[in-house]
Amino acid sequence: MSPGRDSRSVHPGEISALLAQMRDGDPSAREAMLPIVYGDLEAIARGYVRGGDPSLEPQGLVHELYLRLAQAPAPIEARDRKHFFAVAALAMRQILTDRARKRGSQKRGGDAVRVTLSELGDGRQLVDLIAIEDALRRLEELSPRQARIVELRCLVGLTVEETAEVLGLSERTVHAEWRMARAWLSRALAE
Amino acid sequence: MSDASERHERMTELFGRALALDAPARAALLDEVRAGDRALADELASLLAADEGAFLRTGALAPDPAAPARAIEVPGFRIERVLGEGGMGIVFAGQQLAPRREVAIKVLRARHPVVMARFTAEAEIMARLDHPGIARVYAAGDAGGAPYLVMELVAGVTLDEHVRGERPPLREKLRVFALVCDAIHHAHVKGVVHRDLKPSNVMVRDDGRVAVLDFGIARLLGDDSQRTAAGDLIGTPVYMSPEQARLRPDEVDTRSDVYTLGVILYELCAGRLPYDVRDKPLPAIARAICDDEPAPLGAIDRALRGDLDAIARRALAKAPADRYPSAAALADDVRRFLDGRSVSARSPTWIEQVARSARRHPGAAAAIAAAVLGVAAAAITITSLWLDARAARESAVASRDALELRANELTLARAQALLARDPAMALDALATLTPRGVDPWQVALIAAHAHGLGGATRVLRAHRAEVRWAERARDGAMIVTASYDGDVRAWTGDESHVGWHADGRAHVARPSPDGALIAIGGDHGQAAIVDLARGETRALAGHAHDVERLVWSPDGRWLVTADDHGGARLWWERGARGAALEGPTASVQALGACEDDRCAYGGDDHGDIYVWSLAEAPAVIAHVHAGDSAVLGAWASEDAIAAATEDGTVTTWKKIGGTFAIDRVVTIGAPIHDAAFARGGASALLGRVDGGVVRVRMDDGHALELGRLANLVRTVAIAPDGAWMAAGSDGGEVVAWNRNGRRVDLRGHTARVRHVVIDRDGLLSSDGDGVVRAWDLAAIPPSVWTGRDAPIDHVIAAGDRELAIDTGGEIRALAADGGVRLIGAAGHRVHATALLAHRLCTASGATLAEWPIDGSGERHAITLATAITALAASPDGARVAVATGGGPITIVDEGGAIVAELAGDDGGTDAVAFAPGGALLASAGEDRVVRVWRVADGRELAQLPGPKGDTHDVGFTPDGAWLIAASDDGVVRAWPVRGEAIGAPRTLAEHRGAVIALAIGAGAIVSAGRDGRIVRASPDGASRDERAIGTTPVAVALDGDVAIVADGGGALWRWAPGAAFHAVPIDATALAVTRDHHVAVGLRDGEVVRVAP
Repeated sequence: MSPGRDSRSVHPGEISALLAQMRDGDPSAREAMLPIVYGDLEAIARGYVRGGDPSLEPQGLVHELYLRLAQAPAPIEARDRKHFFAVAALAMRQILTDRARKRGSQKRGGDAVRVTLSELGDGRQLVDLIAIEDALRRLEELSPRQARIVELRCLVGLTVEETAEVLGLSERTVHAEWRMARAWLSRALAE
Repeated sequence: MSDASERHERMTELFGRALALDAPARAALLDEVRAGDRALADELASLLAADEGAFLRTGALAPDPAAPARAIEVPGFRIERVLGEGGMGIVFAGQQLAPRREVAIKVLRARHPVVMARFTAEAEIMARLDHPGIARVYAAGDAGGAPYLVMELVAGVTLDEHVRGERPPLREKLRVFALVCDAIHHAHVKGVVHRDLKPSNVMVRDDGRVAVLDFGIARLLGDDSQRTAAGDLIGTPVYMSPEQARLRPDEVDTRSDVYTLGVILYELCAGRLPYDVRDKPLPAIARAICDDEPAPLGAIDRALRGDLDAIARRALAKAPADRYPSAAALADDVRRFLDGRSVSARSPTWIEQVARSARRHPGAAAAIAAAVLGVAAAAITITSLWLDARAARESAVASRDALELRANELTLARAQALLARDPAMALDALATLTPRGVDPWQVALIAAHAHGLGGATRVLRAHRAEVRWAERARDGAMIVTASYDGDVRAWTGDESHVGWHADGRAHVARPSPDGALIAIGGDHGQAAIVDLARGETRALAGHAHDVERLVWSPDGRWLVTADDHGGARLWWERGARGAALEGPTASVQALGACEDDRCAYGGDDHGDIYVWSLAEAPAVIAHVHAGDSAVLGAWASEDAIAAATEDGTVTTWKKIGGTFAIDRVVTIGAPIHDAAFARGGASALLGRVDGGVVRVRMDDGHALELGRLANLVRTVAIAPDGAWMAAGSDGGEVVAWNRNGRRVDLRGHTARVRHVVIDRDGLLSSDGDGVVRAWDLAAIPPSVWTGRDAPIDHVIAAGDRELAIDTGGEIRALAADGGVRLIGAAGHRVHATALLAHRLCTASGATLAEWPIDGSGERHAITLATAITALAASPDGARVAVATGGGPITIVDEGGAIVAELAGDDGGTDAVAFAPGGALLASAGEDRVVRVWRVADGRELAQLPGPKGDTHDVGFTPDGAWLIAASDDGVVRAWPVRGEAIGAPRTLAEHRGAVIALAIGAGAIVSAGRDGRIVRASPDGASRDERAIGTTPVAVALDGDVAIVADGGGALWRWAPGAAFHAVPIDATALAVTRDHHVAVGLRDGEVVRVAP
């Protein structure tokens, strides 16, 4: 057996503590949280794939993780939500690309993980994740803020309103930048 | 800022401006830009084009109020006919032009913002769902101001039409119903609650499959943006759940849909709704849903009695917690019924529900308790009647069998229900079972759980009123109790006799230190000393008021008594002589004797504390005033005093020169109801009125809240050795904390807890109903080490010590002698470990680190390019195999040199293991084969097909004869290994759902699955045994043939072949078997405990 394989869900108290540290401006908390959230999202994602349903819906996964935490004895406080989602978006992005890259080395076929990014496509479209990740990385260089907005909208499934809250921007700004980012990405992906 | 990002920023600004413009103005803007920068204009144009191409855009469905109402045209679709029309919109049947298919197009007509928002939400939500049982969404958009949704056109009829028209048999209806549950479960898993299920929203397709429609008011769990305003009644009234009917949108979750599925099931079976709501106004319907019990299905149609009735009843439970936990569980039970298997919701569950309801609503408990007890009593009576009958009559065997079976069934259900409330009563219930029809495994499980829950070892019931005092005599054999029924009882075993009877109430009864005498206090100045050996009682005359407190000096020579009006007296020579103690002016609640037998002390309700010399002419040797609040707990010696007062203040005084001066004042800022001091006055335990329990350390004044009870804390206690602290509340809670603050809830009391005391034999608690319980704290495993409140991720047995790693990556060595040493901090969570000869390897993300386990020397770490997924140590402990997400497996020796590199698994390697000889290595991952490698030259010897999912565990049996792999398809496979030849696989276990943990021993392989089953098999698969633990397991280990299983429900199980499970109550997260056959267990709260075999 592989020793010490991680198969538990995250301890809510731990997350809450890290969230509180982030709120208090401790930059290392985000770093500490990323591997935890990554691990748990990965576990949930595995559960999805294992359930016979090969499509991975990032929002669903992040929501499930959030729900698990929020329903646990030490629930995530509303004011910590934004930190949580910011970290979860990052972790989700990492997971999706890790998986996609892994799959990329295999033959493309019916076994591929299907990810729908309903905000970008028509909700059923099969998106090439590696291409998205590359495009997103390029966008990040041009405008980190727009990249964050895409992460939160597409990967966590936040509304414009929620995205604005998480990033501390006005809804108007988020709306405008989101539309720009989406157009930019659609164009980049079409190339 | 780079040029590129500046340009992007400018583009963003231009893009934003262009969006606000109409087509001609946009063109003008483009021309303007083009004049200055042609490339910029081209890019802007392409972005605007891309924006138009983007489909399901946020905000695109927002209505344009100016848009004229006109014929609806949806681009790309041909509308053919109207399928249906409602107040809010029209549903058309149509054709999609490419790809060509029949579709349903829902076009919104109403322009109310709420309706718009719901429509948008429906489009977004349905786009998330992809299940054959849910109508598919193909497109959504806005056709000239009319938002539309294009869906799969389902060929079929609605469920209600299907039932009315086809009149299908019950089995067919149930089959369809289970399909509906499947679809709803899919939505739930995706975080969507339907909230408006009804037969008319379910289509039965022509081919017999179903399609759930109309997610128009569905809600995403946890999504506040779509939260319904309180009072915004949503859903179809007669299918609403009680929480919907009560207008509590916050409480509506997936279990509301389970309820509604229950209504549909009921309607399908009975042909009518569970409640008679015809022609009733909405408030009356809501009341019926919240309060009325549905008529049992069996009462409507006798054919529906039994399991089906039980299933519907469970789905329709008023409290969400009592329903099926998921739609899938409901479907499962319906299918079990169809297959003729036993269902999880058998009718006795009802008893459990009533019991639960009684716990939730103590106010209504009397009537419900009567009902429960009635059923239970009936069960026992029936059993004994049957036993009589067996001797008397030999005929009508069948009916008697049925009676006995039924009685046993009821009793088992009752025992199960009692577990959570009072494990001791659950054991009592089990004792009344007869063998017939009883699954011994189920009995063993309940019994193990009852023992495991730390149940009371003794329950003493004889008093008819509140027991104000209970105490064990020093030899532990006898318990003395004093009750408001006036009796003082002495208990040996479960037998008791009344040793004294007060006129009115008995307040206190305390055995002398040698156990020969019992001192007693009662109403109206009654006090006495009972000499047990001689059977004599000596009255102590002198008090005029209720004697509520008394205390023996540790040497037993002196007895101090105090009453509720400030009277205090000292007695010696077995009460033959006495004298008054001066000082107190009000009720003395805090009374004690100095540990050196030289003094005694009392604190009264006016805040005064007096210390008296213990002498035939007693004198006040100290008097201090703690403020005007009543003294609830005190400790004193000849030169120090400590007192806790009702206002939540703890004060200490020290004798300096000839007088006592205040040394420290600690206030916890909240009123308290009881206080106790540890030996030496080192710490105080305070029970707050609001349920909090606080420990105050007197040396530094540090106050720590140990925990909270839900009700007023009436009584607190500290063990003489300080190992345990306990509190009892008005809600019947008794909670004990160990030295490290680990909490153990002791369940059983149903009335307010009046008194708790801890001695070396355990804890005694007494309650307002006259019940006394004795608890064995020694049965609760002591902790080896308590950590930082971060859960323990890994426990590794390393010779004479255990290594524990918490989720923060801190690694500690715990030696058998209790010494704990920090080995190091990985900085991040450790995902994989491997133990080498003298070193521990850990992997965190892409970082591989090596730690000397004796704590000496340097840590080495390297960071690889990709995340490490698994580690394995070679049998000689000299090398470690490192597997990565990328695939290749690297074998590194102790010096860090790369010994070999294997190609690994294409899809990423998740598990790796050396064969015992070290010559072979097995690996597995996501590409559904298990690979075997020759370590020496890195050659791949075999690719073993079989796994239908990712494989996370591989390993060899200690003799090297079998290669074992556990996969996410739930199957544990074993391949025989001879030299380098691998034979055909055997199946050792088939779990429903992934295998969570695997332990490989010499003669047994134990696997734990997500399905809550534990399977033990021999490596050749010839023998196999299994147990269900009911919750998701967390970890397994093997000690020889004995399996150790940690479950997610807070219990640790030990399973020896042919023996019952034995459980201890600890919330384990990791475990390892130590060299001395203990189990070292890492806990969620950061402790490590050792559990003896």
